[in-house]
Amino acid sequence: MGPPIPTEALLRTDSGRGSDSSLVTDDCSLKPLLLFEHASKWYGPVLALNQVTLELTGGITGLVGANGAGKSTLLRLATGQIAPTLGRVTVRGTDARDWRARRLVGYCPDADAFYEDLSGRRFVRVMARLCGYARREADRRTDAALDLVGMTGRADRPLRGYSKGMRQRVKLAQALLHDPELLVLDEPLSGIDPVGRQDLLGLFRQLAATGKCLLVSSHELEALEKLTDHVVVMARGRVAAVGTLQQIRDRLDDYPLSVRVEVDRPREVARRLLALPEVVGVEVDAAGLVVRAHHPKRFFAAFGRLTVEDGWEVRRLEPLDESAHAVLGYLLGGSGRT
Amino acid sequence: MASDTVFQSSIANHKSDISPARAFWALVLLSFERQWRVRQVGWAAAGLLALIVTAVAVETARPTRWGFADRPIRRGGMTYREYAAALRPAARYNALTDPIEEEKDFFTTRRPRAAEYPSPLDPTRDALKSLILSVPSVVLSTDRYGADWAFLNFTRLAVLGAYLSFVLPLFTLAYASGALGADREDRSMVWLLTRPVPRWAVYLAKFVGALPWCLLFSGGGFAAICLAGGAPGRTALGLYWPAALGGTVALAAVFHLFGALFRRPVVVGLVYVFFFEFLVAALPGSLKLLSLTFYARSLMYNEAAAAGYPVGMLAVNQPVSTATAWAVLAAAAAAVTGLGMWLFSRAEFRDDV
Amino acid sequence: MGVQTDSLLRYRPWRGTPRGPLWGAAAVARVAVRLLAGRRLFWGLAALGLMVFFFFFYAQYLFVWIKTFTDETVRFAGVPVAVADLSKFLGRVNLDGSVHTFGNYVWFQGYILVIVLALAGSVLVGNDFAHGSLPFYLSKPIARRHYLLGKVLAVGAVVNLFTTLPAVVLWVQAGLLFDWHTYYVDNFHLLVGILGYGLLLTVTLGLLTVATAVWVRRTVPMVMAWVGPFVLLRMIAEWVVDGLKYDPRWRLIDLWNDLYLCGLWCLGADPRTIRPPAQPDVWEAALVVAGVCGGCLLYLRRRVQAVEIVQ
Repeated sequence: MGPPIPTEALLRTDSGRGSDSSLVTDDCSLKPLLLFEHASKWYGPVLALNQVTLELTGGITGLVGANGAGKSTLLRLATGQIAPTLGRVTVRGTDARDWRARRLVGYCPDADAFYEDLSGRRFVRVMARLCGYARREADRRTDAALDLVGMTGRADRPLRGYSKGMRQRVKLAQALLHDPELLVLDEPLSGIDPVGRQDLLGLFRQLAATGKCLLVSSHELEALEKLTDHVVVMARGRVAAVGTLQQIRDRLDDYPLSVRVEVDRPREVARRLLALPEVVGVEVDAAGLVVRAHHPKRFFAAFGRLTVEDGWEVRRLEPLDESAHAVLGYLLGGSGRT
Repeated sequence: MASDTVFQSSIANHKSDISPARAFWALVLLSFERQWRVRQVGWAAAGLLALIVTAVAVETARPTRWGFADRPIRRGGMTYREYAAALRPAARYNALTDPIEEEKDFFTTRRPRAAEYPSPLDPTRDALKSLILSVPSVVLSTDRYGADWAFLNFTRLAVLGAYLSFVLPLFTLAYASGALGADREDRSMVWLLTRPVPRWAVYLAKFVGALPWCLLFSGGGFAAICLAGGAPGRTALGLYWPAALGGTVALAAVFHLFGALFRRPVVVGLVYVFFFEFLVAALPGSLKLLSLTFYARSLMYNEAAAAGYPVGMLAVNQPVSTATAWAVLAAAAAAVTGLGMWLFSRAEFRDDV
Repeated sequence: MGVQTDSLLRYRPWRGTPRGPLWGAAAVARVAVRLLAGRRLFWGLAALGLMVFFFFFYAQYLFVWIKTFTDETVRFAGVPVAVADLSKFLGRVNLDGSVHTFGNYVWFQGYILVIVLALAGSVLVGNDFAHGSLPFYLSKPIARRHYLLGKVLAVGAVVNLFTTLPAVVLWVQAGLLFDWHTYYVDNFHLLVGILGYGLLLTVTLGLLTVATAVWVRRTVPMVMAWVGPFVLLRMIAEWVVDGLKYDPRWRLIDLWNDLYLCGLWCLGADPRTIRPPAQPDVWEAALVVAGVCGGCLLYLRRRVQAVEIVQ
């Protein structure tokens, strides 16, 4: 097990983009829009979120991680549905569990459960009324929100007949109703066809351009990459890395990675690998060897080439550092596995 | 996709329009409407109620009309009225001349006992005997006695039996536990919890929205049972309706709490009804003081006693006073709702389990 | 990574042969029982059921213990009680390993079983409809009737866990309390009767639970539809027969009582000893039970054939 990637240096980075100066009008606005301070969350014996510290001030932030990495838990903490077991989560200085914090937050949940018998328009209107708007104002906001997500013409059918994309739009519309500063979107792109995805990405950019802060989770980096390059990578309940994609890539290149290789001829393999410029050390034991290398992308390419050339029988190839594992998975374009 | 201008002009900068009070009442309305959508519960309740009302109506339509004068003493035997008539002097003298039929059906006729035979040789004794044995017949023919008995019989069987131990708990359970229970079952709780409304207000609004349904079905069921019961039923409706509604509100508060606490509130509620309201409430000790229907029972008992009925046959063990019963029902409803609001504010709902 | 990996990972088809859909039904039942066993509420109800069991268990012991006293009185919780009174009372409640011990046990367990089955119905069947896990089962090589069979088996297992199994334990206990070799030989028919009663309960309640759950699906209406026949109809039957002195056949509307009559017939009880008195004949009760089973089967058959089952 190697030491974790030193994320502390990255943690405080916020994109700087999108922190619209017009928003800074009073004292409250000076506080960070969303702040996680050493927040941990246990579900019974399961640690779902481990000591997360994050600060969001604006723009679009992507939240990536494999299934079960703790993304949804983090978003539910941000929307005040659950309380952290340890630590604090605040929205503009107000505890996220406080109802006043929810005035600033719009949430688009992952779950697909509506009041199925209502029409899309009626559902959004009910949600507007539950925000505390008068009837007329609720109607106006409903129409505007539906228009914004492009559902105006299709909102009068019962929800149970909606396609996945339409449901997603309705969910988004209800999150936009009260003009929240922070939009928390849990897997908004999952199950959406490519055309719909482009539309939604366009909408997210448009919202960010009007000064909203978006926190978008996804298990596909590819989708988020088109939207933002500011991401939080999560693995096993921890924040594995924060920053722009380029920052994370650079840091990974500098950071030596430990990889366990189980192979039929460990000594010969070790000799060949040591010859590579990226490899800084190799330890050989009975079952195989542990390689420490810089520039993982280049290392893996060279490793692959050597495997084919020399005909090694590789039984196992596994990065030993979990957070590095996850970050790598995403940066190398896999689905969280290397 | 709409243009930026639409967004800017229509949604932005209207925070001052948000009113938590309006949101609260909107949630009350939503809660009320959601219950209307679950028609199956309504149909099931109506079906069960129809069964009870039919049973009550059948008894009302029979010549006995909740009284006991025309009721058979034993299966297929003579009625109390016939028995009383057989004890009158004329019948007893006639019985002397009747041939003694040993083989006559034992159940359909009753052979007079030795003490009932007239004793013409001792006129004083015979007159006294005739006087005493005429009492049942006289009592049975007084309207007051028949009406009292019919009313208490109706109270015991229909009100305390069918209504208070079945209709009231079950219908209240169905509607009160469904207020939050349906949202948990449908996993739609997230929509309520992410609104800018305090959690306790969500709990309270859901309760206020479900309460009319509880009162409608429980109170309506009570009215239907009473109206099917004829004259004693109408009296009972007039006397007992406050107790019925009070009991409904208190139990609704308890079941609403179950809805917030348990994933299967109806099942937990059934256990509670069976073992607490049903068994414990009927026990003689002081454990029954913990059951809410006991207080509704006491209220009804006190009402009947105040109206001058001989309440001994209602079999209510050591009832508490009216003031105490009301105080306990109101305090229980308030305390349980307060506890629920506090617990709900701290609760975390996971829809993935 | 662009590496040829054909030597690392190969597709290997499964080389076994499926054991047929009936085994699939057994697997559905197994999964269903585990699902139920994972619920805390289920174990809470099981604890209540256990209380009834222990009442009978210790009361049988008490009965034997009392009979060993030759004194006039025993001190019972500090109060002197005449032995004759106590054994008369215990004799009346039939806690002596006789026919009515087992009949009464199942009768009392019925109150808890009604609630357990309402839970089981909504967890095992209602959930599959409400949360869309039905396609998961039906995509396997089993027919819909095997799915339903599996669920009926699961409900049957739960029914037996609450009734037959503890009743058998009471029988074994009774044998150990009395003279075991004569008791087991003389009362072997009781064991057969208990198993017969259990089988009857399994079939009837399994079918009825699954049919109700398929029909209503949601918990609240399911519970209401369930307490109707078991609580309300019993109340009405008692009122009509015991109160209004109508024909005892009115008791037939009480299904639990019908099952009880059939069960006592299995146990070989004398019809005159059945309480409350004024009961319909066993064949009439059996007819009602058969009618209920037939109705459930017909309904399930119709639903199995309907397309809408997989919405």
